[in-house]
Amino acid sequence: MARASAPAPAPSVPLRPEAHGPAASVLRLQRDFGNQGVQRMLRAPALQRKCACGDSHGHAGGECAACRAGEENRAEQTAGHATRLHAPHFGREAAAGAVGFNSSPGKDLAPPAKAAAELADDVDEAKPDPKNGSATIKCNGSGDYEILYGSYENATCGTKGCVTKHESSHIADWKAKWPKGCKDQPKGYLPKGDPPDEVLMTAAEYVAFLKQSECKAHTVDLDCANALPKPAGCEQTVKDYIKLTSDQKKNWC
Amino acid sequence: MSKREAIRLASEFGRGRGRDTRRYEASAELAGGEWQVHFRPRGKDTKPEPGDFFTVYVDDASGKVRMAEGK
Repeated sequence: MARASAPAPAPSVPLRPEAHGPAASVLRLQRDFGNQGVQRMLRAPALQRKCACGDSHGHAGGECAACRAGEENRAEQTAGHATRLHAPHFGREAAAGAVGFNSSPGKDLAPPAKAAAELADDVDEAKPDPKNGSATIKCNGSGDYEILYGSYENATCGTKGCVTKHESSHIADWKAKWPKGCKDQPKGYLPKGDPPDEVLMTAAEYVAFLKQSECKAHTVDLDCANALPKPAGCEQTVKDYIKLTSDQKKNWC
Repeated sequence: MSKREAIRLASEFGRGRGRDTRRYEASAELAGGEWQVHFRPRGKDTKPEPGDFFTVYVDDASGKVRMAEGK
């Protein structure tokens, strides 16, 4: 019986120094595992970023809560460098679209130079999370307008209903001006009087239109807030909501 | 605290909350022992969306800061 022939010697490898760097690493992986194998590895979840809070392109993975917590910490630290940080004070304000913390004379956390550097970093890194920002309206991608609640998403004690009335007032104004403004437009678009919107507006005309819409929306909102019941546990939340709505209304009416 | 200091603290807090405060112009008024610092988009050619503004409250005595988002 013929014996299997001895394995062929491994092909000789040129004796030259291996290249370094990311590109060389990918080339080595492609050589060892094949191009498709490398592509699969690059697409693997383990190599993708796990957190993209505030990202509007749908890359957000399953750890955004942790990411948001990180941003909260960074925000507190940033303000803390300037105002000397005490314990965070997230309470009733958070339920009414507001956040805050106590800052009072205390112990410095960082020398000024370091604080300045970290502030600069935060300006670039911290992006508004859609759940932390303003309430607004946008096209829903199906031809109509929709409400984005932002930080008012979890507003309590009936205040979210007033936010709904506020934003619905904007939608009524937008529909009156641009009845088909969301037709064939992607989710997130908002007509502002620029082509292809049917009614065109200069910036000054648009700002006047927005001011009138904001005044009307704040009036409806404030009327709603003043009529809210104040059961036990909701007095301060409703009071704070009335104050912030009243304060902001003054800027528009 | 001075109006300028209140705006500075409010701006830093806004930046910490992810706002690019360079996009906004701030106005401040002292009412009831706290500074109300209002931020509105700057630039006569801008077309802001509804709610694209915010208010930062700075307690004049304690320095306590809180932020109210726009609607």
